[in-house]
Amino acid sequence: MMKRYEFLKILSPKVSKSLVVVGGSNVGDWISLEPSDGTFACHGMVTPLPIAIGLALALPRRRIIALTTDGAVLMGLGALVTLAETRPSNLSVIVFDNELYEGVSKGEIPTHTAMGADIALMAKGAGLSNSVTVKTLKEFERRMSSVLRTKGTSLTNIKVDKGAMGVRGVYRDGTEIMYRFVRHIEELEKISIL
Amino acid sequence: MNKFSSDAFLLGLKKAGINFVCYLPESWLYEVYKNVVKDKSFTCVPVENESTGILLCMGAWMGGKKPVMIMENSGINLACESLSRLITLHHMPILMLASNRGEIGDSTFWSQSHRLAKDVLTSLRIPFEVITKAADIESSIVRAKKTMDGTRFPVALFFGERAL
Repeated sequence: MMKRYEFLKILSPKVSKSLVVVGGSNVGDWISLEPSDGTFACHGMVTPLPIAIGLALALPRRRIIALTTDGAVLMGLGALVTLAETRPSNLSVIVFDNELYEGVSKGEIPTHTAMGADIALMAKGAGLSNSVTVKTLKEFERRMSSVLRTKGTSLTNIKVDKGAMGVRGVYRDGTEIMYRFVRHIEELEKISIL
Repeated sequence: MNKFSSDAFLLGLKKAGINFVCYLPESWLYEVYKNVVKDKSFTCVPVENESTGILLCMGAWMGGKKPVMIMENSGINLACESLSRLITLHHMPILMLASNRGEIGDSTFWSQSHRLAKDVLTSLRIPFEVITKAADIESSIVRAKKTMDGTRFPVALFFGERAL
């Protein structure tokens, strides 16, 4: 299996003016590659997916990408139902599934995906048909080339090896992240929010 | 709920500029859900629990919407973790409207735990009011909006059965 960073390197040149909601162990790796104010770094496991749904519904003409983890999705499984029900036309959900609670105890504690839980299948069961698991860089590249250009909601669950390669942690606090992100949206969308 | 009260909710939400509604239905505010879902000026999202709803409102607010979460007051207890992040980390002004289950006169035994919602909000330093008169429904929503605009802090309003 490849590490998350290798997949993010493929994603990075494709995001363009998309807005990214990122959480969990993905944050450091993603910010290393894309230190843009167009990224909202979430604190808290359950947060990225519901925040991304709200953002996607508010800005239907802007591509929204959620970078979340198996632990985060498992903690807020109900959000898959809301994701499938709302099905925004502009939302791509990417789950980095390392089958571990990587951020705690040196990444030695398995999540339920290590015990048979299948996130892509659960999303399908919730009603989101465009939901798959990929394992290789080639599969991921092909998948992203398709879903980032197509209207609709998609979920891509990626089986990855543990281990971060970018910076550890976040170098801004939650308030600064919010202000930078919202100011960025104001400029991008030519709207007033704050 | 009587028609005066349900109309007052709708008017208050519109006057406050609310245009994005997350909801999880409950009995006392039933007419409010019915009205907002029918009204095309609101984007309405039924959520499966209140924690998801609060986080969804956060995303919508960052995208320029003026969101509200409408729920039973027990939803505040369930959404405590999301609310703590909303307040302590990101400072986003989300409006919360909830029934005041467990108030004096509510004879259901299960609603007594719902009163703890006010203790949750007090711990989080989130301002709240209990509305007991129908005549105050519309103005309370508008006043809540003023506080949120000025402070970028969430506000909760609880509605007692006498107001409905």
